Amino acid sequence: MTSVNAPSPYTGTVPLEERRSIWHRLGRLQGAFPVLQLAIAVLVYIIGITTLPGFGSLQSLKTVLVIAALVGIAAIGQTFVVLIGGIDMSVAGFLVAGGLTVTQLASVYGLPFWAAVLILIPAAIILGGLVGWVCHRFRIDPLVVTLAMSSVALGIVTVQAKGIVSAGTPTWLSNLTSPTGTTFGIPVPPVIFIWAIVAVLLWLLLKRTTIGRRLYATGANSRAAGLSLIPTRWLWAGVFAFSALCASLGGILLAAFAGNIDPTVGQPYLFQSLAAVVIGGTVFGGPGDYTRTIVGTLMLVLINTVLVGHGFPTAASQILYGVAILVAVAIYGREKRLRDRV
Amino acid sequence: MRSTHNGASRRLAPRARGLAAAAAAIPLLVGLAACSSGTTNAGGGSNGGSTGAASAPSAECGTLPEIAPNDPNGVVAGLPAEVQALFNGNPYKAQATNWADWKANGPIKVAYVTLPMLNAWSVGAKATLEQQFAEAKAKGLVTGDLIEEIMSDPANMTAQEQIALYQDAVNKGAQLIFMVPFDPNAIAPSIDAAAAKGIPTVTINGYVDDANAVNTSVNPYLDSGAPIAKILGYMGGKGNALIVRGVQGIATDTNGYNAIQQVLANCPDVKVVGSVDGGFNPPAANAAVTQYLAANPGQIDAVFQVGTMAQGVYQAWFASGRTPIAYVNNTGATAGSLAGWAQAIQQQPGYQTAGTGGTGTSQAQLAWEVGMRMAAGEGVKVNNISYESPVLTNDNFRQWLPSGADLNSPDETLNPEPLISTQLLDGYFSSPGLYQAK
Repeated sequence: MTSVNAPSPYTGTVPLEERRSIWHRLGRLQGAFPVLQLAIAVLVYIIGITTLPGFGSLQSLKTVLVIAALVGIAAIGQTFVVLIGGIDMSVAGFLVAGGLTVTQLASVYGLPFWAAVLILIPAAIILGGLVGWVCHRFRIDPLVVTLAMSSVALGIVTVQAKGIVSAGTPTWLSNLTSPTGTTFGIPVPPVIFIWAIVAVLLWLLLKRTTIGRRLYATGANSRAAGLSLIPTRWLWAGVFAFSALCASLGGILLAAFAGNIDPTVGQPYLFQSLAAVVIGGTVFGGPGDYTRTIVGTLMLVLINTVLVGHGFPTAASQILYGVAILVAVAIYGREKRLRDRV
Repeated sequence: MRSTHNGASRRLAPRARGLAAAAAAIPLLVGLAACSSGTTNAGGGSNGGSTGAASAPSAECGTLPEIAPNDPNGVVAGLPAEVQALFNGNPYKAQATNWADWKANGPIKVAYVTLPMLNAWSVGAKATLEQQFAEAKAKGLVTGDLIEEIMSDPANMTAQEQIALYQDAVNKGAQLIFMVPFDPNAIAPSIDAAAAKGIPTVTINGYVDDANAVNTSVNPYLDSGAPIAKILGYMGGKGNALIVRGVQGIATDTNGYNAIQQVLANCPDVKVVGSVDGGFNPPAANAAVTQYLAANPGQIDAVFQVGTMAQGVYQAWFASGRTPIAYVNNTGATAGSLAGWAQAIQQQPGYQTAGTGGTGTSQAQLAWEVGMRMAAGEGVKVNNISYESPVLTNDNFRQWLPSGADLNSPDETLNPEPLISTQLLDGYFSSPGLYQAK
């Protein structure tokens, strides 16, 4: 009598149980980290190097990372909001509001850059916090409230800017996001350094602090978290405030990159930021983390860049975005929610 | 917890096989895309897809081919020869206007229906109309206040909103309406309804295919074609070019793109190596060109954009640190794009390129004069006051460049000369001189 785990003497194939075990291990690995997405990103990069002469150059890599950093930073707040089970449609509005505050608004009122930033920070925290509080207090879907707040934020800045919603960025600010920019003499654009530092801090925040544990608990089951004396309403307000703050500060970087800012420049980042979070494998209400968002961002930006490099129109990129999101949802959408695991 | 993890992995595992295959489709698609792409010679349509450029008659590379205007009823043929030249290649249909015999009876109420104050162009156009209105009121040509109907949210503009604003202007008693059309097709029935009440509409920076609208719009063929023809001459008729389109599918983009294709058709040694979409918006153009340059570090000699996006192209180019600096057509130049031009010359002595001038201020001035000439009873002959923007070269572009402007400047250029001379404008009217006499 042969064991079911022994190789079959007739076919020479790996037994069924062993094959299942390999897939189980891969499944577990994928559940813990978006290995598949990372593999796709690497594969697409290799395709790019192979098919686009010079794509593997250091300068090209830096440019890709600058583009990815902007998307990744725009997706910070979205990651946190998704982790507590919400969605933030105000990212684009706060991006533009942030950019306009430090450019046009500063120009209208003759404010120095840092003074404009100091006005921006509390304003974003208050508006974002209000969203979280309203959603939690009145049990309203964040989709609606964040859309409304996006218009409010942009409207406030527009009124203050005397109706002119287009402004140029100070030239010195552009160095932050220039692919040829340097950081303390090191030939790496500052925005890449900023992104890397922020990523480490966010990992520590989520994995090594009480706030992080409370955030996961709230996302998993808000009611149970409340019964555990976690102030879920304040946590919701805090997360949405954090999201608005990140988007507003990201707007400064976006203004630096774009050179000019107007109400339309934030729109692409709303979809891209949400796509990066979902494709990275962060599920509504958890599990997930910002590391996954980084992988999702790199995968999306690399695919998009290689397609653009081959002359494919924007529509082709949109199709691939859609396919990637569908695959991600297929992988993670049916995964058991965190609340069902504890 | 251990058993929970095992449970989760079991749930993932059966899917993993199928989904791994599904996920593998993504790089496979990218790989297939990579295999199927390539460059095209000029005139053959770009990788980004052609909108069906009209064929151009054979001419020497670097010259602007002569193309018959869209004149099905022979209206243009009845204009003076020098005015007919302004219709070279113009894709907008010229037709007889219904306002040829219109004349205002005394001071009239005037309205301005426009898009949100999105940028320096819209601010300049509005300020100019307000100033012109004040001067005309002092002369007794207009009455009341200028009725201003301005769309509110730049991020959520709709044709319905502008139609409502236009209707509001009619309800407020406007007797002459100036407008920047958002959707020319959607607004046409409203223009017809106003015309039935004896209210003419003069458009600024847009063409409404309607005998009841009098359009003041630049000839897109000349606007894109003239500077690009000059650049092709600078290039010696060979090299690689990247095309930056606006928003594919809308008329302005299609016309600008067709003009580029028509001029390139005579340059077989110019390769169109790619095409990106810049949304007629410098920041978006900057992002698109940056991404393209990241993926294509190979040689690009020229970047041809369909209009108003040269600033974004220069921003991307300088940020990439590439040399030599590409020729960039400054069609629809802005203060920022001209600053980029000046910066290119500073970084690379001998750099030269070409562009066209024209601002919200100068376009509003032209529209106002056309409207006032009509009100004075000069008798407009055609529904499209076609004009060619002043062509900018290294010799004259600094006259348009505001002092202190830098690459990120959002401002308009200066207006050292009008869009069209008085003599040429006279050719569009049956009885010129009546307005000047007032």
